[in-house]
Amino acid sequence: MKQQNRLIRNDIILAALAVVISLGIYFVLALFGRDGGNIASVELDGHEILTFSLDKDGVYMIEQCDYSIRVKDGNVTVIETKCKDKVCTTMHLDRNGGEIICLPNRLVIRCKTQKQTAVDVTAG
Amino acid sequence: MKTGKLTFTAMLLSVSFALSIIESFVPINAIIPLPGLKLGFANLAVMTAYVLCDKSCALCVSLLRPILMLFLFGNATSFVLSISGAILAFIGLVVSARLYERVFTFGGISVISALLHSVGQIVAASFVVSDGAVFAYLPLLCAASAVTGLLNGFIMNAVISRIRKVRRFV
Repeated sequence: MKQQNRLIRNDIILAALAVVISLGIYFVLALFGRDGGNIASVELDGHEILTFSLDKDGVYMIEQCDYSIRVKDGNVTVIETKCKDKVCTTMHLDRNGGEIICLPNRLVIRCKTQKQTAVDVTAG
Repeated sequence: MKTGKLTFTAMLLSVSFALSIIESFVPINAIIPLPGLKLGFANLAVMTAYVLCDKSCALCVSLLRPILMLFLFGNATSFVLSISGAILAFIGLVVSARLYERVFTFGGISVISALLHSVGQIVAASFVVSDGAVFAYLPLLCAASAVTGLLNGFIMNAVISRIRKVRRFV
């Protein structure tokens, strides 16, 4: 019984270590690794298909996969997707970073900083 | 002997299938809104297969369940994620099973499996979107899966002491 308790203690230590280490990595990444910006870029299959400004409110359609996103006060939310799981509707993106990833549609929407000229073109 | 093993594998496969349907009724994503997070009850059947039967039985249960899910629900994305998670989780199970009753109970084994399952899922997801952005979710997913893994392991501890006697049929 004593042996069993020792093993269970090891289990809990392992799980606790995993939680602490991964949360540590998460917070370090959240503090230093987020690339914010005023431009959001939409990538389909790893290729950029659309960029838009976060400073301007609007609704953007991504025709390739019946997908639409709304920009309001710098926050990007998904308003329409044809995928089954709707996981991406819970994701969030703003000027401080973050990303919206839709696996069924193979879409990644993320923030980035861009040269001023490019901003003007896309905000056009 | 052979028929017994085949039957046992088929039975555990259906158990794992039932468990994964049961866990879909638990609104875990409403409590912790983390994409890809699951309770992982299906791994209970895989661990049972490994303990009561052997490696090949466990491998069949872990790999055939995603294939069965694909046939029934036709969700190709979740199939890719769960099969790659299943492969890594199985490797984790086989490697860490050596530590059973020496360092860990099923708790630790299940945690290692669950962590590797998360890694497998994220790697597959990064291939699906051809982008590394999904790796940002790995730390959170690992933290959550360590907890669910520990929970599963303790369920497994309770289960295994009760069904060990099944072994003589296999």
